[in-house]
Amino acid sequence: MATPDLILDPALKYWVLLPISFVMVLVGLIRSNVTYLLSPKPKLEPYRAVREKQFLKRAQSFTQNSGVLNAREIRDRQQFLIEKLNSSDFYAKEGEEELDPLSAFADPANNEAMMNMAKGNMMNYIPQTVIMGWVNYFFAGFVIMKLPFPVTDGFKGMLQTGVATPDLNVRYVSSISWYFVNLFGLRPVYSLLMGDKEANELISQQNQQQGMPNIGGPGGPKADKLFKAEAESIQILGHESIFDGIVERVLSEN
Amino acid sequence: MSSVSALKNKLVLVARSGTYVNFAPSQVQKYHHETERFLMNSSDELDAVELFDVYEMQFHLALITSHDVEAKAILDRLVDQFGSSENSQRIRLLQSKYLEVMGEPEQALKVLGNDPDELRLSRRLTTNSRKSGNAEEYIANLNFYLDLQPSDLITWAELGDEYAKVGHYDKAVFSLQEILLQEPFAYPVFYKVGLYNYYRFLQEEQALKTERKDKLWELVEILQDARNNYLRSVEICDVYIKSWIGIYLISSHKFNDKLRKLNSVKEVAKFLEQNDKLKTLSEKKIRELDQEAWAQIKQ
Repeated sequence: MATPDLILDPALKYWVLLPISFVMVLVGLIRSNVTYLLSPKPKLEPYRAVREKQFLKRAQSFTQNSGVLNAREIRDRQQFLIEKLNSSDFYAKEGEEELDPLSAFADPANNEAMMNMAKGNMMNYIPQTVIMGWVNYFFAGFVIMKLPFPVTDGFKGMLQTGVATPDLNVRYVSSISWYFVNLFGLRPVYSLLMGDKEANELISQQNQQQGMPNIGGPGGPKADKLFKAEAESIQILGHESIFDGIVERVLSEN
Repeated sequence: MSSVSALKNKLVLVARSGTYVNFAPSQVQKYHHETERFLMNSSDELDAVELFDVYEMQFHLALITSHDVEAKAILDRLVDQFGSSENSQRIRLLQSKYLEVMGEPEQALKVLGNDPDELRLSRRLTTNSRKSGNAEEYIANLNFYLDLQPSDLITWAELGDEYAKVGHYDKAVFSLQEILLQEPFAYPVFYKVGLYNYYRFLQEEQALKTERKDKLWELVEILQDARNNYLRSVEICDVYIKSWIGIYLISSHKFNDKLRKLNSVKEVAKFLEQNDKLKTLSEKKIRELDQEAWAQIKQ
């Protein structure tokens, strides 16, 4: 072997390796709690916005399931919905006009959404920067452990960042690399500590809320466009009904 | 699956679907006991969200079964957990219901407040006028609420029933069809649409003075709608006996005999022919499903 084995001071384990891991776990836990505190409380939507969405939903379900009515009823509702969709009766804001995308930044509602995004991002990168600075300041260039199993040379870049020794055996891990390994590998530890189920539930709840198109939100389509499009699809709807030939169907099934 | 987690799943499902409000009294009693025991012995099985869903159900069950001390205890527990009720519509709704049951309707209304954005509470406010017995006012309120919430299915169902109570069966059918448009496989609703169409037919048949062809044909159309809706309901759920009975009643109605005079019209002849076939089929089905029901019909 080209390089003789290094002898690592056992004190490195207690004063560098474990403290880095411990601090990372701790900071991760604190961060998740602070993010929770900073996350915005669910706000009540103004009833006009809900009304707009619900009317669109009503129109959409008519487009999808108009077959449950007979031909005459389909025609009646078609007329009613097209008329309403083409008027501004159900718009959340009166006289929505075309806005250019840049002016969206001046809208206070959008600002709030962006502020929340910024807060979330800040909670992600500030702690990481601080810990990385700490590791770099105190433990720069430390080789802190030797992996108990051999790895190929490809891992050199990953395991020996910050140690300028091209010939060192890949099994030795530098302090800053240990930091990165922790950064990406601690997820299972967190879910063990914080309860996997509740974390997953939170995530799935967040996903569910995005079922409806985000009318009027930042970057979302405007109501008048959606309404017009829906009116068009209702206009071209056929008059097919599930009641056509239902007697024969039931008779032949039994 | 252990029996505890099966029980847990059942209770959570019932709590979230809200079906317990339609239970028969004995069932309500049973569920109340069961939930009480479950909350006492194995509430650890539930996670936080499930636990409070079940508490909410138990609150309602306690109110229905007149255990108002218990209801108050649960309500206090929920208020303790979620702090002041100022910003939770759900808790204020429960508080208002409790006050209403305790005979303090003014207080109950006060708790609900009148913020138009709080739609859950608005719906509760809408139902307030039901007690006055003034159906017209109640229907107007429901319509107003539906203008704000055009796809609130529960309110559409309520409106349908209210219209039926005052005899506007065509409007009742319209309201119930709003539900079908969103839930196209709700066979009990198909049954109800059929039923209200049938009632409308009976109503108009009674009022019918002449035997003119076009008037009779209008009635046939209503009857056909009723029959089709019943048929759709049994197409989705074959053992739904109410709809089979409905089909039987239509196919054996004496109006059919009146129609035989119009047998020369092709559509009428077809309608009658189908009715004859359906009569045999529905008779067979009802006998299979429930002998007792059949005996009652024959009486």
